Amino acid sequence: MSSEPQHPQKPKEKLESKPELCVIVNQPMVRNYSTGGGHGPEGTLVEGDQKFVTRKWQGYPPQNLNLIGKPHPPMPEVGIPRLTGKAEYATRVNLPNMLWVELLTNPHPRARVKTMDVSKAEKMPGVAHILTAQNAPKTYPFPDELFFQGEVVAIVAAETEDLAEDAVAAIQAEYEVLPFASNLEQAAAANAPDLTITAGGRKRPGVVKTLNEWGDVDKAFAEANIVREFSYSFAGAIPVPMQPNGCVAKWDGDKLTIWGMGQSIYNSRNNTAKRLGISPENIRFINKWNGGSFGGALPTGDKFYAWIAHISKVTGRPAKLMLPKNQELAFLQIKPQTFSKFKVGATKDGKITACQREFHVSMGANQGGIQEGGGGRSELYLHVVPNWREIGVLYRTNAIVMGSSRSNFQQEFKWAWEQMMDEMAEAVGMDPVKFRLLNVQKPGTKVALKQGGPTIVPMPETENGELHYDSYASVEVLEEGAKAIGWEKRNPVAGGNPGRFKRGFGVAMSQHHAGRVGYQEGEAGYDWVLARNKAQGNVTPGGEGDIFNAELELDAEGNVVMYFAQPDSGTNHGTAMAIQVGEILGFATLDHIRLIWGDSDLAPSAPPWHSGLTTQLQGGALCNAADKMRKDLLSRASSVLKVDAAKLQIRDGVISSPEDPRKRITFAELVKANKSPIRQVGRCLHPGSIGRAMNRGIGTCFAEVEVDTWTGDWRYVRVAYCQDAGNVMNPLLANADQHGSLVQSTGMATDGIPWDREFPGTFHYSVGYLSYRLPTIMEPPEQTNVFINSLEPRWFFGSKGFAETAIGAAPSALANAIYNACGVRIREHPITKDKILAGLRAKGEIV
Amino acid sequence: MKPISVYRPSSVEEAIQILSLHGTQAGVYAGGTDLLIQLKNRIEAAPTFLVDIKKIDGLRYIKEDGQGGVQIGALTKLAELAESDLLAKRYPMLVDAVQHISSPELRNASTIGGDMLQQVWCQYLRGGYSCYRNGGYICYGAIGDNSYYHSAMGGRLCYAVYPGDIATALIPHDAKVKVATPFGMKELTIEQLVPGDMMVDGRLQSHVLRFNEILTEVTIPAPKAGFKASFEKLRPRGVWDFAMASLAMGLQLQANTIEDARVVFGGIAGKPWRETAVENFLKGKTLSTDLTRQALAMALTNAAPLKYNATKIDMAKGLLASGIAKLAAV
Repeated sequence: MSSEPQHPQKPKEKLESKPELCVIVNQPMVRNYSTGGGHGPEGTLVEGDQKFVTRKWQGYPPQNLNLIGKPHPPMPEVGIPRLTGKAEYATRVNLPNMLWVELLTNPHPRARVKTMDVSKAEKMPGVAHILTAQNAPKTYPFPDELFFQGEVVAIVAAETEDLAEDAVAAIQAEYEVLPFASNLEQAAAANAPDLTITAGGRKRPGVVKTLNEWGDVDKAFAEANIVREFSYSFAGAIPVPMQPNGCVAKWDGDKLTIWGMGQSIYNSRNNTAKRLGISPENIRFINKWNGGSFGGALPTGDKFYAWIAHISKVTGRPAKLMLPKNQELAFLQIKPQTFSKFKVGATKDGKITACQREFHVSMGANQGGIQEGGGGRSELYLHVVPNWREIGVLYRTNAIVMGSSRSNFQQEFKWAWEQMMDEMAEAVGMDPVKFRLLNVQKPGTKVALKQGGPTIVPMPETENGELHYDSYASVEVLEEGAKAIGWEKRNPVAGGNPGRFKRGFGVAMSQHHAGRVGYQEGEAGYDWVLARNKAQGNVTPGGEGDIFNAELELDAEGNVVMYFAQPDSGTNHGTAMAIQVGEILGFATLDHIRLIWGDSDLAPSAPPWHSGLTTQLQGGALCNAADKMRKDLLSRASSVLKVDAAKLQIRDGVISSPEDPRKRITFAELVKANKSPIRQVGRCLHPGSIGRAMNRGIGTCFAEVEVDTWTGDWRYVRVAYCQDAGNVMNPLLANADQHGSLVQSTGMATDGIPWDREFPGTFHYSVGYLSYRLPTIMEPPEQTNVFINSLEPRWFFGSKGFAETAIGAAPSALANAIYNACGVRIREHPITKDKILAGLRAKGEIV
Repeated sequence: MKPISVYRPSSVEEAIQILSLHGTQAGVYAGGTDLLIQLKNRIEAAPTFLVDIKKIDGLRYIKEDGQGGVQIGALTKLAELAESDLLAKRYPMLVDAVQHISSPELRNASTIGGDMLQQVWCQYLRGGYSCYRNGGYICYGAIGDNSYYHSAMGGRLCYAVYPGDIATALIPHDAKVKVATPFGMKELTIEQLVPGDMMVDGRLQSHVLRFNEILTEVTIPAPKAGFKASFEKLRPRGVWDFAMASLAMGLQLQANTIEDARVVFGGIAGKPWRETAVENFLKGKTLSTDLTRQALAMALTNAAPLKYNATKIDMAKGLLASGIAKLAAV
């Protein structure tokens, strides 16, 4: 009989994180960038009209790196509480004597409360307070007109969630139902109601039309060899944060603490203070962990903080709101219903010479702002189209408000644009990759500010009114992506493969502003933009002039503590920023970096994070502080060691002279000598535009699918994402992000907003994820992620943002792949199995 | 949520006594994956007195009946069916069907009895709309968005489709159920159990069980030699969803000649839909894909699709072609 135990213990293996299926393509270190002013000598960039000189890579080139580019698991203070269930999500905050809050919401697409009787509800057991338009704070009243289904009508606080729900059900409310237009069809109808509103002290029309034109479009159409017209519709899509949205409010005397959910600390604190008529300093705002927010949850919590705080004040008890999924949906920003129409002219060899684009967007209960800005065209890589006309019609509608929701105007516009590119490629008889290679702009393309649309404002780098595409790997993302998916296996004839299960390939591109980087304090452009912002009155609450602040503290043990505001929404940006700070300060591991974030009492102010900018802008502030800290420490060490600072090296908390090993001093010793921790603050400024140049995010999604032509079923076979990612900070995170991107964007491709098609203006979300069919873990395919390191010349270590870019292409890549597989073109989003089968039947294909 | 009372009887007899006491206000609480959601969603018609039968011994088993057949206790979890070697050996098509129900998490909680007797998943009913099944006098599904979960084969009052896959998959096996009543046990075929859209004790429901009856066992006779079966299912989402169309097909073969056939569609009507025209056509034929075209031509000829669900019929026919192809290939 064997003496070995039945279950021999495996020798302990050290767990090491490693990226799987991840390819990084490094571009040459010296590349012919065409910045506004071009390369200067000695690693400088001379930029644009103002002739500002920027040190290339801000003086930190992507060479000899110890931390950057290696896979790092989440920092323990971020990751471990998440995994062990100890993370303090607002959802998990339960305080003694706490009240639970529930909402009564508007059941109609547009209405006004005629009468409301809360007397029965007030007398119900456990009910502590009912907030309505009658007793809401004057500084933050309830909406008079209920502009969409789900708008708040009353807020009930009770001893338990259940008792609050019962009391909500007992409120008697009568509504005057107003004429409404909830979708594009209704909003464009002849008898549509006028949805002009007054907001911010002025009238905002219900329908806004925009026209943007250059070249001679009509002449170009007349001269084109091939002219085609196409129409597409996008049914809207919603982000679905896993964590319920809500907050907890608690007063201690006149000091208010709010545990919130979303993407901001200081904005939320300041908005809430204003609405309560108190000083922002009296509010401690905490939001360290979120279960996803996706941009969609940016405004959701903000709407309720002041009311919940008011209830807490009135009752003298902590109060908690957690929106159930069906209510939360009404307050998330969503991707809007969109209709797009194109007329495109091309030469016979495939060059697009003219394009007329018309788009109609249902803006939902928008209060102005973006609605009047038009938008989105800078997301379409079309600046090389010499003759261009764009007609935009934006409708305010009685629907959920549109807005940033895993980016703004990406999937919805690219759904149309990228299918158009595919159909146009077919019309001119070209391979879709080659057609894009011919028509996409390349580094060196100049863009007039006018061509860029409203999201481009003058920048220091603007050269004679133009911005230039430079670190922009448009060719590489197409070529490397095609390699990764095996594009050569694609049958050029749509539906041309034999048999029941037909495979096909599709490609789509995405361009987005996420490549933009900011200005760090000390750069000439920083002062230029700050002055411009102040002159324009653009002083964001919580971040004067859009400044991201950060602080670093070197403590007595030689640990570097990073202080920054941004909540972690699963984004794990703290780790990415720690990698940069650690690299600047000469660490080979992250063992001596600590994070303190998400709390207005602890972290310095900053605007909310958004647009995939956190690692660049909040990270920019931290890099700015780290750069100062490095110089400060070298200077201190130089004085002590009597060695020129330029001749000292920093390695893992030790500053030493390479020439004389006895000349060394540790970080901890420097702190001891200082008699208190050594601190540095850093600042970084949002450029307030699409970016310092057209160093934009650019990427591709390649999909291979299989369609069951008997039933309309389909599945991914494989997907390849290829992004111009700049220098990837953390491939582990980058890779995970791309997986999430595909899953979420696939959900946005295959399901619209859960509107009721027969009862417009109402949605049904009652069965939760059965009504909105998010893809599950069972569905994602094998995915290869290719990152093109374009070595962004303006930023630390050649990094730039890319996550938000990646999300845009998947829906249209999928539609193009399904077309290639079975010949069914789905122009009306979402992609569903019944549409595929109906398309096959319409083509006369039967079993 | 309305106040509820939970009873925990220790025997089927005791459970029936409690059910009888409260009438239609009471309901059987087993896996809870349907019932608890109804309560949370504030569906008026959901019961107030829950009779939790989970503690009753002897209702959770998969065992041989001594004659080559199998008996399955009503409280057996779907996950247990999916993992049963005995079932996989005797009735692989049933196991295949179970593995395609919902998601692994829900299969860990749901029971075979609950699956067969579950409420329909019409989004209007589940959203608390006051429809025929929820105290009202209208079917929102018939007039509203009926893309996925509503009948394409006509209806009477409620147009929601019967959502269960197990009943559909049991019909080709000629399975039966045992039902405990105040007057003793009774036995029903699956088709007798779920005739769809029935008024029982003043309630519209898919099955015929009265308020004080409890399904206790499923019995499946021994498969005969030469029996082949196939289960096909198409869902809007690949997992964690109900069928837009499904098919359970069983053929009794002698050599390659079809002696008997069962063609049962799920997800397209208010009940598992037996397509006897196709069954009769198949009988006596030699099994091959040459039969497909004719079988499709005579399948579902009396379809009555609603505004948004005509494709269900095409899907169901696609599944029929798939089923014939699979069985012909074995």
